[in-house]
Amino acid sequence: MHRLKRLHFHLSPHYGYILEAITPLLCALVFMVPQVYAVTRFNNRSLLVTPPVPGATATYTVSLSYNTLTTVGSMDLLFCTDPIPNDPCIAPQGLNVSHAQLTNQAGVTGYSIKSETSNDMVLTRNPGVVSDTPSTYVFSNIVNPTKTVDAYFIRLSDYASTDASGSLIDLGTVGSEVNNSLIVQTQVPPMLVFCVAQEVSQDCNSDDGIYFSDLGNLDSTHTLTATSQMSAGTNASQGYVITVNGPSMEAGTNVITPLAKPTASIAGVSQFGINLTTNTAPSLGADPDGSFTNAVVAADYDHPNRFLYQDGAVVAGAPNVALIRRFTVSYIVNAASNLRAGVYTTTLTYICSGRF
Amino acid sequence: MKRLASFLSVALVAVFAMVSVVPASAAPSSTRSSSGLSIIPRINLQINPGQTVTSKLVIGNLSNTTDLNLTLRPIDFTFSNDSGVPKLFLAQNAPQTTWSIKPFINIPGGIVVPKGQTKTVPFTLSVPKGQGAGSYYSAIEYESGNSNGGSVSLSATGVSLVFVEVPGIVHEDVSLQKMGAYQTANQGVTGGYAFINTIMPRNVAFSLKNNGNVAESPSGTLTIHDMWGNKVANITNVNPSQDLALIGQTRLFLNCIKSQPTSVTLGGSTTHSQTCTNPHLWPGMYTMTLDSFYGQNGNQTKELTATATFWYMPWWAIVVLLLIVLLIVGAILRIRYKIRKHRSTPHVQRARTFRLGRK
Repeated sequence: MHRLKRLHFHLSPHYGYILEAITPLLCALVFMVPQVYAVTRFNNRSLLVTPPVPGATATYTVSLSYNTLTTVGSMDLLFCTDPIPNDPCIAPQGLNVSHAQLTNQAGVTGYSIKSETSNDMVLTRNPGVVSDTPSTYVFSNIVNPTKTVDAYFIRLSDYASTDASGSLIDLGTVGSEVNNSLIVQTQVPPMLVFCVAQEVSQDCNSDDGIYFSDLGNLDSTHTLTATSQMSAGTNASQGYVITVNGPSMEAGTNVITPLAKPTASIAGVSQFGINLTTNTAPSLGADPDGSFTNAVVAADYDHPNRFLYQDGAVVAGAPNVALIRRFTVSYIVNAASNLRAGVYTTTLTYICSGRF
Repeated sequence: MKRLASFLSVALVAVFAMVSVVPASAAPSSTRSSSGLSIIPRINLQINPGQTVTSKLVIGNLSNTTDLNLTLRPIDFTFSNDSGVPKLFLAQNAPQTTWSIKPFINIPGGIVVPKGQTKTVPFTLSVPKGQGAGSYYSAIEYESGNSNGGSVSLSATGVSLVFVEVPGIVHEDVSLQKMGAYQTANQGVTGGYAFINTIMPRNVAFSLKNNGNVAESPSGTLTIHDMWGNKVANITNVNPSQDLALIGQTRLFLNCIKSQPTSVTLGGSTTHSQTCTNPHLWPGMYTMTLDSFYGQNGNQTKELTATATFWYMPWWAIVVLLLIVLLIVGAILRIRYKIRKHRSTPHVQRARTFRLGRK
């Protein structure tokens, strides 16, 4: 009992230190990052597919330099949609290497094809030490994948054994993709639809045939307003963007000031601005309608009762697939009392483009 | 004579008055064209030096009542920011970009698509024999030309982005700029990286800078582990839409931590895509590992690997953590207090006196 008390007595000034000692240990546990083990990789890897046309019978030229200069008896070429060696391999759709032929080799040579499946090929040779000489292997009679959307890869690995069994020595991945050089009429590529008028139907099948807005007579006591509509949609995976282009309202050299940032409408102050939302002051406009809510109004043009105009600005868009959505554009014009007489007009071009 | 002069003066005044009192609007032109069109938003071609390729534009007139009159012209573009929004050079006298396909392309100046119909318009691209390998891109503008009359005249224009790859040995140089959890409310239209996330992140992202002379479309995988080493996400394709990093661009590649597949059909064409779902992350630290590849056909396949961490600490978890720390601190203080109190009690003092006495 006395010893315990003496222990407490001696330790009591050190509780702070104990806490300080424990804290870093706790932090180390918390901040410990899982270790990633390192594997040597082939150097200077490349792949040339000729022709890179979907479904075509092509020649594949694989080039690499060996990293680990040791005895090598075999190499495995595994064709997958995923380049990561330890991940499950999904064969590229339509690919067939089961009839491939090794027609040429340079650098480290002596290989022959030991076995082939539709997406895997094992090369074998008399085991021998390899050098870091750049090496090239040409395979003919490989049928390209038919799916043009995804890239595909060859996972390369070499082994001391003659049948690609046992511990691998080096590994690496080369990648490629196939694409159509010509648009085949029987295929329907992704489409982008777009329409603009004073009023449009949501599906762009009809509009009111009016492609202008008459704002009326300008004076310093009233705000002139107008609206127009546009619909857009795409099934392209990159989405679309709509920009507004054109000058502010002008009569010769006299220009009504375009609002540079979202600003309230004030009669008697020279202002020209637009937005794409519902407003109450003045009362006009509407929010976008349509089921694909990933198509949105640009932030600056989405403030109720705040208007601005910037030539070339993005006013709406979708970052990916978005079917038809209709946007209503609200226009306001205010004139200062000293505005010079004239016919003030502008032509606004709404440009809808795909994204890359 | 005086009457004639007076009459002429009045007439001149009347004419002057008519000229000066100008209406705020002008009578609209009778020219009308449909404004509803469908186009192919992106065209990718591979053309060898010395080769001429004929490709096709597919243009649809969505109106069932009016023909679609279009003016076609090639325009150059570049990137606007780190997204895939093109910056179009619309001016007629805009300088040609070094990656422009204007010297190669031959398209008709205008077409008419009858109401409700789709027209296929062929165009050719001829790459000169000595043309260097790399990426060349411009856009094709389709202007409907309904811009006549009114205070505000409206015009609808569609744009197709055309990318041409000239194969050969190219200069490829892509570097990773940033990686981590990405907070966005609109799928990347706006947002930013976040190291400590009080709102559960639904997205992770990485930014690549393209210093080469070819537009790059990286591929690869991204894995996310929690701080106990458990894999919580395995993104097998970090660029499913084959987004491009244009020449000179720092491009953001955004991915869902968890997603579900969707498919959308438009005009007979079906596209498969992914939508983000709730990843159900627990509070704590997460490590993401990127293994990305890029490389043009026949060029070296280059690999980018990187690791980054981020925290997910919702406010309720921060409160719980603070409470736990307070409890520990409180417990320690209470133990110290009890020990001090125990030492100051009489039976402890008698024991000390006894020990001193023995000495």
